[in-house]
Amino acid sequence: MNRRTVRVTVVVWLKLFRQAVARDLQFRSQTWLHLLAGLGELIVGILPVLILTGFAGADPTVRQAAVLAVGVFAFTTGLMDCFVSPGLRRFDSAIRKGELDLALVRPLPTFFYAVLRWIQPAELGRCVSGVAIVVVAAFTFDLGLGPKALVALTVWALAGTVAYGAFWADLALLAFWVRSIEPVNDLAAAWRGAGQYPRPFFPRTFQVVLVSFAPAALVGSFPAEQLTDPTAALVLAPVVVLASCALTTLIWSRGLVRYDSASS
Amino acid sequence: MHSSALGSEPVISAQALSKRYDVYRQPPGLLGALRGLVSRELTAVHAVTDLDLTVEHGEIIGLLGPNGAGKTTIVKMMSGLLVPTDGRLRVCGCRPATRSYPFLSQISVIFGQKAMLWWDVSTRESLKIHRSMYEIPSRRFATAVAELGELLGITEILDTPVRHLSLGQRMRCELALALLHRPTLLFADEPTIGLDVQAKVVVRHLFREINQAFGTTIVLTSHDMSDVEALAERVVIVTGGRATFDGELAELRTRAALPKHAALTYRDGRVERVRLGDEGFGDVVRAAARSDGLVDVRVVEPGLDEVMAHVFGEGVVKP
Amino acid sequence: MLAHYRWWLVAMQASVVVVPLISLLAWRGAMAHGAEPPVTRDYLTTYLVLVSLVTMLTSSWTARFLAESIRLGHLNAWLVRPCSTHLAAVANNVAEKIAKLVTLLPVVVLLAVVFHRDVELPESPGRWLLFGWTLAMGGTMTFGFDVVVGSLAFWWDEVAAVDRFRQLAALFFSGALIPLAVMPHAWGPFLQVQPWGYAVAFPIRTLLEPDAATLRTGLAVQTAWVLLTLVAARLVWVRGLRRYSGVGA
Repeated sequence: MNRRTVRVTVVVWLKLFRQAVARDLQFRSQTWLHLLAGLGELIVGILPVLILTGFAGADPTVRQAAVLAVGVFAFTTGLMDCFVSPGLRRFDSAIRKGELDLALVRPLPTFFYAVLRWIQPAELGRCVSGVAIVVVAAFTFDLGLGPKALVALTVWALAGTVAYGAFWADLALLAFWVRSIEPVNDLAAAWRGAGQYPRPFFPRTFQVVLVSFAPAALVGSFPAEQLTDPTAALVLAPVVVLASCALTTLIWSRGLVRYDSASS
Repeated sequence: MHSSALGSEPVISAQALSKRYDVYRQPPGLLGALRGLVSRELTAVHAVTDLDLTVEHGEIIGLLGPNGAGKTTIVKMMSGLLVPTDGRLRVCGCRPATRSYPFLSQISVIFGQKAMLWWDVSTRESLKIHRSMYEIPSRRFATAVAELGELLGITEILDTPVRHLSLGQRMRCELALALLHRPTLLFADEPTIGLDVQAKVVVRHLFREINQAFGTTIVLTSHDMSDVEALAERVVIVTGGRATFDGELAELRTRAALPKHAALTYRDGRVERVRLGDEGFGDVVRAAARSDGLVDVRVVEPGLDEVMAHVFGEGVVKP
Repeated sequence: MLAHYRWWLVAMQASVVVVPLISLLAWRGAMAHGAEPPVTRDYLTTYLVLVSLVTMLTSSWTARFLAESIRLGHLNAWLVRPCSTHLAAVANNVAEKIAKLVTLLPVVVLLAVVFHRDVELPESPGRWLLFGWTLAMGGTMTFGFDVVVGSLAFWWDEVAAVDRFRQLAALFFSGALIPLAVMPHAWGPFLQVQPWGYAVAFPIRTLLEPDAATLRTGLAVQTAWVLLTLVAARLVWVRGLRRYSGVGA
């Protein structure tokens, strides 16, 4: 990708974000409702985890880990559902109805135009809730967070968002090979729910899967662990990001070769 | 207007262009559908076969053919949406399949049934996004918006959210979006579909204007023969994935060899149509004049719809 | 038609199974770490193995399509026919569930096999018949709710947000995420009367709960909710039709 393309892509993305905010402000009541619904989804997602860890016995660290995980999960999924998942949910339809054509004839990276131009700013409300949960938990549990822990949390949360977004994209891109695969979006959304639970609760094999092939832990429990015990080397975070994006790029380029745009 | 300046490459140059699709066959019935859950049959569909086509700068050509002939597949290969299976293709000096920025910034594609405008915001907002995309300088952008607004009659509605516009207004706004960056080559796939008569006239006028003012080459596919008659100097007929005719409309009419008719109007309002075949026009008029009340006589050429129906039905145009 | 979209079916059923699977693993892991919920491991395992099947069999997705039909005037084609406007939705609902069962059942059976040591199912045919009955009632109730929510489109332009809230409430209070039996004790009275629990949690309880009196009470409450939703659906529909303008047809 050359400098011109990067520059134009960034400029267009900023304009799309501004346009999305203006659009959401236009539909005020709908935006408020979706904001509240997003928070409702967050609560419905958190409650089972809190109920579960409420039975966890004498060990207070389990409850701490769970609350931090849900806070980080809210932040990362808010980012994903604002910038990435709206486009991925439309992707299957774009393939089936030949709407990908409209992206292919634009002088911009097609993946960006096809997937990342759909933005839902109302979902950022969850990011705010997530940060609030982490802050309140830090004070309530008297965690005494240092800068190293905060940096580790932030870097891994962002890396996890990108990695899981890439994983979700890999599933959505199956639409190039398979007729009508839209429910993979529900699968990806359901799978990432595993990131809300403390990682030690899962069997060992499952834990490995959750930080590698299907990195749901990277959007919740794993970054949260860095807050209390920053063990994972930060240098691994960009490696994770690069590896996930490389796989998505490979699948995308293979998929485009197969794409036979639907007849009009 | 078209030019073929010595040494300049044609806008479109296709040689032996072919496209083959592999399609899964659906077995009929419920049992077949259940069997299809575990195994399916693959068949090859030859959508385009050995197509040769050259289009010079500034031409307006009509790409015509019955449904399923391969017209849209040809347009999609030329706009870089599909990779040809065989043959050589160059458009605006580039290989379309590479979808490079120099190529994409010179073309524009209008799909009559697919919307490019963002639904919940005004046309002006969509134009601004396109301005960034095609890196149009601000002064040129303002001029282009003003010109297109006036030509298409959409200046008053540029700030109205697209979802509040009628179909005709939306189509005109889609055209403005497609033409904002003054493309060298425009692919218009059913551009007037769903428009009323007045809107169709506006669109045709716009196409002629941009062709004459900016030399934009236009490849038009349309089932509306009035569009073709109004705009295209040259038509290419595609049937069964092959080009079966490439020439001027007048030549097509001659080759279709459909008979003309004489329309005889009488004082009492009756209009009689008499086929002009072996009997000459003079003989027909003399015979009609013997009966009382003949007030008008006209020669009626076969309509383009009739010519096309005959051509598509025959499959091959007679030499 | 659904059989042509085999991967759609597979992906859909995978997404349905994933949530209870994660829940099952997390709860079992928590119990291995010393957690003490008010139910046994067998109860929890059996519940979470069955929940995806029961959720699917009692689900409905009519609200969105009904609202769209009303908004875009597509109802017209049905209103001029001598049959119920909901006939197609009912047929689609039943047919889709049969197709989904074909792909979901093997996955659930696999889960049951993996966790067979902790899965306890009754042998009495009477229990299974009761289970089937409560499933049918639960499905009917959910469909009734859908018609009520979808019919709100006769009055409001945008029903999607209302539906989203309703789906959230149903997701949590039906017991699709976790058994109602593990929810805080203080919520007990509310959980016993709210309708969503009778779509998912109650049918499963007919297989796990030995107490006949509790089951009888549950059946009565479920029947009452089914009748209430059907009556509400009818009322809202008839009132709504009077306002219908058929725009866009």
